[in-house]
Amino acid sequence: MKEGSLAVKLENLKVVLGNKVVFKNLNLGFERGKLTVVLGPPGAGKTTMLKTIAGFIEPSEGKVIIEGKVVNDLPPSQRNVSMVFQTLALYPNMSVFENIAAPLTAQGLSKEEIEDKVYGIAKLLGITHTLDRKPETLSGGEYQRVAIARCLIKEAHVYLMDEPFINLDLKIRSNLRDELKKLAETLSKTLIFVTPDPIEALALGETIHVLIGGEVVQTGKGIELYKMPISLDVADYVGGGLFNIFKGEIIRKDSEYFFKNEDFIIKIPKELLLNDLPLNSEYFLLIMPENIKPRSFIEENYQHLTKGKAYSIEVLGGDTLIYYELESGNILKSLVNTIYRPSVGLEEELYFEPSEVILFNKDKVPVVKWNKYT
Amino acid sequence: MEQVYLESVSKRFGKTIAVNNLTLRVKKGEFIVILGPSGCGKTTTLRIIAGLERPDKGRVFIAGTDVTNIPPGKRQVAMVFQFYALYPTTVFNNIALPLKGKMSKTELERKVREVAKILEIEDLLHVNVNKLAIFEKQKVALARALAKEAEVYLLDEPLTLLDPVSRIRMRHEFKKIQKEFVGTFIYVTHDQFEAMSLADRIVVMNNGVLQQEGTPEEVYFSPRNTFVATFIGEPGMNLIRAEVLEEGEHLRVKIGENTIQLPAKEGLNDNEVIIGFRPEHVAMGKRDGYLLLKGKVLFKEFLGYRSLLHIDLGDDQRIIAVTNKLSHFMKVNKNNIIELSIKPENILLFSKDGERI
Repeated sequence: MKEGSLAVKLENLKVVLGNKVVFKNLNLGFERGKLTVVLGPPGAGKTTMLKTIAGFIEPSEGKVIIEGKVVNDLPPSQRNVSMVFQTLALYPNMSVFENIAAPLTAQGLSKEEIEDKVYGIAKLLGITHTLDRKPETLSGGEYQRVAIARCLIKEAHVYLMDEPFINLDLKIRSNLRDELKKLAETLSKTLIFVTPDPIEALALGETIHVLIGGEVVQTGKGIELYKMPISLDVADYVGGGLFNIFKGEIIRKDSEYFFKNEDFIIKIPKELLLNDLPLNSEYFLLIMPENIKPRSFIEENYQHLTKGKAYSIEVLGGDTLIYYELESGNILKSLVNTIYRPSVGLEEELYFEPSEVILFNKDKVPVVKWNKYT
Repeated sequence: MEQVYLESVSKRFGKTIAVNNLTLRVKKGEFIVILGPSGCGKTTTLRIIAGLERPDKGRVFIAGTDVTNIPPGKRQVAMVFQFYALYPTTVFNNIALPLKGKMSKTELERKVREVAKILEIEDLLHVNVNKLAIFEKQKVALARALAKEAEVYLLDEPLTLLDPVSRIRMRHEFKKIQKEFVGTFIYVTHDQFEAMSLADRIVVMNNGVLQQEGTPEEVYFSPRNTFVATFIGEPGMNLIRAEVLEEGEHLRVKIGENTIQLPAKEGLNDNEVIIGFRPEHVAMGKRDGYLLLKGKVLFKEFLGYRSLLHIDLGDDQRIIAVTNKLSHFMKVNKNNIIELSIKPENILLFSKDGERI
C-alpha cells in the first residue's frame, strides 16, 4: 500500500488506560476513500483505537497521522473526524431533522443547503418519514440510522463507526450494511468500521484487520481470513465459533499421516501438507460445518468421518445447521443446503470433504498449504 | 375444539392498532410460533391470551371456555418472559412455588422432579439459583412454567437474551419438551431462524395483521404475499417487476432486458406482475429446462459457508443469487455479464399489490 493513499496512519502507538496496556506498539494504515473493517472480540481495543484516532484518548507513545499530518496535539474538534458511538445518543428534545442537521448548523451552512443535505442522506438511509418526529418515537433501527446519518452528513477526513448496527434485527442489519457499502462507494469516503461480528466484517470489508489482544494478528479480504487463517484463534473467531475443532494426535503409517482423536481416525491428504509432521505432539484439526454432511447429502470426494446422534437443529433460511453428539460427548456441527429435520436422537453416519480440512500444530499455527484463494 | 381460539380480536394503544381483527386457532399439543418484526403485535397477542391486556373487540377462548372477561390468575395459562425473575433460593423452591397449597407434598415433589428430569436439572434441585449459569437459570424459569398445570404455555422471546451457546442448548430443550411433554405452546419471537427451527406452525404477523400461518416449509417456500416472502429468508426472496407480454398457452413476461416464458397461470388480471424466487434457487450458468436470465454483477459478498452475488437485470431490477460453491463464486467478477438459471417450479407470481397469484 502506498503511503500517499493512506488517510489515517497509526505509528508505533502505545496506549495505556489505567494500568492496562491496550496497545503496546500498534502500526496500522487506513486507505483513503475506502471502507475498512476492524474485527475483534470485546476487549480487543477496537473502541480505544477509534477514540485515539478521534482524539478522546491520548497515546503515551507514537503518532496518529490524519491526511499526512500528525494530530496528536490537536483536540477532537480540530481533527476533522466524525464518529458514531456504540451507545448512540440523539438529542431528545430535537426532531430527527434537527438531530441530523446539528453538525451542519454548527458549521454555519445556509438553510437551503442544510435541507438539501439532510433530505439527501435521509433518503439514502430510508428515514425521510421520521424527519419531523422526536427520537423517543423511533424504532431501534430508525434510531440507529438517524445517528449514522448525523455522522455521515458532516464533511470529514474520516468517519469512525463503533459497532453502529449492534442490537438490530438481522434484516435491518443486512439492509444497513448494503446501504453503507453503497454509500462508501458512491461518496468515496474513508470509513473505519469496527465490529465484533465476523459475518458483518466479511460482508462489509474489502480489507479486514483482525484485532485480538491489542494486536493486528491478520489483515486480508474476508475469504482469506476464512479460508487461510493465520492461527487457530483467528479461525475460531472468524468462523463465529461454528467451526469444528478437534484436538488429537498424528500417527504415521507407511508414508501416510493420520489424525486420530477419541472419535475418529482420518488420513490427511499428502498434497495438503507443507512439511513432514513431527509425531508425539498435540494437533488441532479444523473442519468447517459446510464440509461435513450426513450420508444422504454427501458430494463426490467425501469420506466417512464418524457417526453422531442429532442433538439440535438450526434452520437458517434455506440451510440447516445440525448439531450431532458424538460418542465421546463432543458436539459436531454439520451444514446442509436445504431444510433438514432429523429427529432428536437419530443416529447418522457423517462424511467430510478431506481436501478442505486445516491442520494446526500445538502452537496453533497451520501446517497445511494454501493455494486456492489467493 | 381448539385449545386456544382468538375470535376477531383487536387492540388499540392510542392511535396505534396493535392487533387488528386477528383470528387464530391453536390445536391441543401444538407448538406454534408467532413471528414478526418489532411492533407487529405479536407480544400484545400473547398478553391478550394471558389476560394481561383486554382486547377492545373480539373474544378469547381457552379450552372451549370464553375467558375474555376472566382475570389472568384464573385462566390456566403459564407464561415465561424474556426477562425471567427467579427467587434467591434453591432451584426446587423456585419450581415448586406456584404449586404450593395446590397439591399434596408428595405430588408436588413428583411434579417438580418430572419437569426437572425433562430439562436435565435434577442434579441442581438443591442448588441456589444465584450459582447457576445463565442458560440454567432460563431452564429453571421454564421448568417453573411447565410444572404448573396449564391449558397453554406462553413464551415471550425466551432465548433473546441468551448467548449463542446457551441458545443452542435451550433450543435442544425445547425440542425435547416438544417430544416428551404434553402441552400446547405459543412462542413469540422476531427471530425467523428460531421460528423455523422450533415451530410446528408459524404465524407471521405484520402491523397487527396476520399475514400467513403454516408449517415453516410452507411459509418459506410458499409465501402468501410479498411481505412474508421477503421477511422470511436471509436474504429474503427476490421480487422483480415483470411486464406481461402474452397470455394464453404460455405466459410470456419481460423482466428488465430479459424475456422469459412461464407455464400458463390463471387469475392474472393485470399486465404487470411480480415474479418471486429464492436467492438459493438461482443457479449460475445455462441449464436445460430452466428459465434463463442475463444480468450484470454489481458486487459480490463472501459470507463464509455461502456467498452472495448482487445482480442487475437491467431497468433497475436487482436480484441476489446465493451460492455454496466457492469455485463458482471465484470465477465471477464485478461488472461481468452472467447467465443465471431458475427452475420453473421455483418461480412464484404475485400481483402488483403483493398478493400471491
